[in-house]
Amino acid sequence: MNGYAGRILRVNLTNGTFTKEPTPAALARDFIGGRGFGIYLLLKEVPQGADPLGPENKIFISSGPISGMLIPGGGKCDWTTKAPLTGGYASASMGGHFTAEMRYAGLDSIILEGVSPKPVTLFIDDDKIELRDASDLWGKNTFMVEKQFKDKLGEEYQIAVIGPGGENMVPYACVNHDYGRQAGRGGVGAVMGSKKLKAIVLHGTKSIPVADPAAYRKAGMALYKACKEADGLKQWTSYGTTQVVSWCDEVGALPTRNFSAGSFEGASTLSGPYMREHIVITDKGCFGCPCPCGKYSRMKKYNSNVEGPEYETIGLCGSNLGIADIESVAQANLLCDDLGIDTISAGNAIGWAMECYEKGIFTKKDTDGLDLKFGNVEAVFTMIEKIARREGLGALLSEGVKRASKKVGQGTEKFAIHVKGMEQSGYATHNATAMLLSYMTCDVGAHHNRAWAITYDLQVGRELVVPEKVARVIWLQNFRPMFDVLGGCRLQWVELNIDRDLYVPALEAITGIHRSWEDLEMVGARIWNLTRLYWARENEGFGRSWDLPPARFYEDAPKSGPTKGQITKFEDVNKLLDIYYEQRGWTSNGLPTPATIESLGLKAVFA
Amino acid sequence: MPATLRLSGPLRDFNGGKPELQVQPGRTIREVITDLGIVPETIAVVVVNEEQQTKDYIFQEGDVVLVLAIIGGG
Ligand code: SF4
Repeated sequence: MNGYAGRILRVNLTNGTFTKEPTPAALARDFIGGRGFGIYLLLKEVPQGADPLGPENKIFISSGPISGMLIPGGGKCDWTTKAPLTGGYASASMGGHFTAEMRYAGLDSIILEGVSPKPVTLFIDDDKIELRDASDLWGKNTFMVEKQFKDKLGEEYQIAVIGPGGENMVPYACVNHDYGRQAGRGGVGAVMGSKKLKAIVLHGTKSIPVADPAAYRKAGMALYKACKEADGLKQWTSYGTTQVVSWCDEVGALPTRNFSAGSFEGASTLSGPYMREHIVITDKGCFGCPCPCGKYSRMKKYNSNVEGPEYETIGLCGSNLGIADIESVAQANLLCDDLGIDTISAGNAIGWAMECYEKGIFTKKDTDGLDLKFGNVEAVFTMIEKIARREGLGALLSEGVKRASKKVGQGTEKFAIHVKGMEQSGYATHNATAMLLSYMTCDVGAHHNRAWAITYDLQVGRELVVPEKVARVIWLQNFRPMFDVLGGCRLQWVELNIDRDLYVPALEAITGIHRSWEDLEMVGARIWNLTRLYWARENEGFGRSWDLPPARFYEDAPKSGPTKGQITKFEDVNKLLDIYYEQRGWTSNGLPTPATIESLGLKAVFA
Repeated sequence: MPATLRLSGPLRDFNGGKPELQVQPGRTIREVITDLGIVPETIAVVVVNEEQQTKDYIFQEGDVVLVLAIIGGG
């Protein structure tokens, strides 16, 4: 099958067996790859009600037809599982070089199922597949393990590894790869830990069949040319995602002190240019990327290096914790990556605890003696370690802010910043209704990646609640995640503004199938509806109430900054949902109607 | 000698689809893009002659000013 490696590897960790199954042509036709494969397989293979950390849950790692190809950004793979953080759908995109190597080993997807009786590493070298004892690696941090494998096997081996966070099944543990790329959100690392799988080591030498090699070369080169000639290339490669720090501060979107405000007095020393001048030593990119956004930093104060921090980490582990020192933020980034926990959720959880401490709900008795006030860098470092090891207050914070605030009560739920149990990523949404709706309806919880609509808010009026805004969010939700289906990076389109139509001939040359963006968006809509149906299948009573945003954004206006005194009215929150459900073809409780399921051809899939 | 204002990606829609326009010196970037219908807050990055600047920068003769839209975010 053109554009596909042709095989899906199934690894049963309980009995140590491997099977290779042909990649079904119908699956490739209807769901293309990446998170399309992921949601289909999750629905079909993981039984209803499965414990996310139990033997019935599975991890589906999937590439797409542009993964490992000479297409800018073709280095992304999707990790789908039932999320330990939310109890719903998790799909985390991971960059680096893993997915290319996976395809060269002849695999479109890897399915991890069962639980190993002892810690193991999955070792794949073309057709040689083994589970190797990893007892000596268990308990070790991610960087050390990755380096150990690279030193022993060679640079061309690609490694995905969990740290103590994953081993201890912290519900927001991540998978680390390439010393700084993650399958970050939702707790994929915890599921890997529950399976006693410490690492996956990959190497391959095969090639992917292509329908029309000459057209592929031409279309691939056109994409590279567009990236290289893009106006924003220099800025993007200089600063990567950190280029928006100052702008977020300017428009009141920079998460500050547990999202109590959107503007931070220390933003200038967290900005992209400041960071570049003071700590960045080189740039680092994913497979085949012409515009590397990774910034590799040196923290003199701590005698350490890290890939990062990128914008999200600066927001959540910097301003959100009242920290203005970029070296300290980078060090927090390093600790989280090395211990294998998500910086976004960790920054939120610590921010929430700091607010509890500030309000006197927590005292030093609750914080293991730490002075957990905003801005206390050492306390943050200690808490990161405690979260990964689930010790003391870290045990509570490791559960995520939804569960932690429910346990603590005393009104702390009101400043637990999450949707559906996933902590909100780096955009404060006190008065940006399209962006707020994006978070409310995102299919993994409060994450920005599916629909990033804040500039649209600013262009048309931030507090407006109109059908056009909702339509924009839906279009983005159908379109943007298609990059996670194709196995590529969306940032060339997002940040360099290259013409998305350039991908169409490339995809056709690779697979032999012509798909316009309208066709692709239809696949996106089908996937979106399936993820919604999955949430409803797994959570009794799932519906509108699950889409409500954190109370902070409709009750608790910032006391300073450009959004001072501004919130979204609760009636507007409901109005947003009313319009959204109507446009999606869902019931007033937010569930796809039978007619919608039928019209999207999903009846057979969701039987 | 006028300055050149270069608009990235979707911002070109505010200039009839064209990537560039000539601007007389003396006005701020904020004023000029506002006249085009662009809300200045939506602009994350302004680059003047390869150096990052603020939106309050005043156009000088011969400047090449690049205004970048962030349409998607991370
Ligand atoms: S833009 Fe960044 S995330 Fe995307 S492929 Fe390039 S380096 Fe990776």
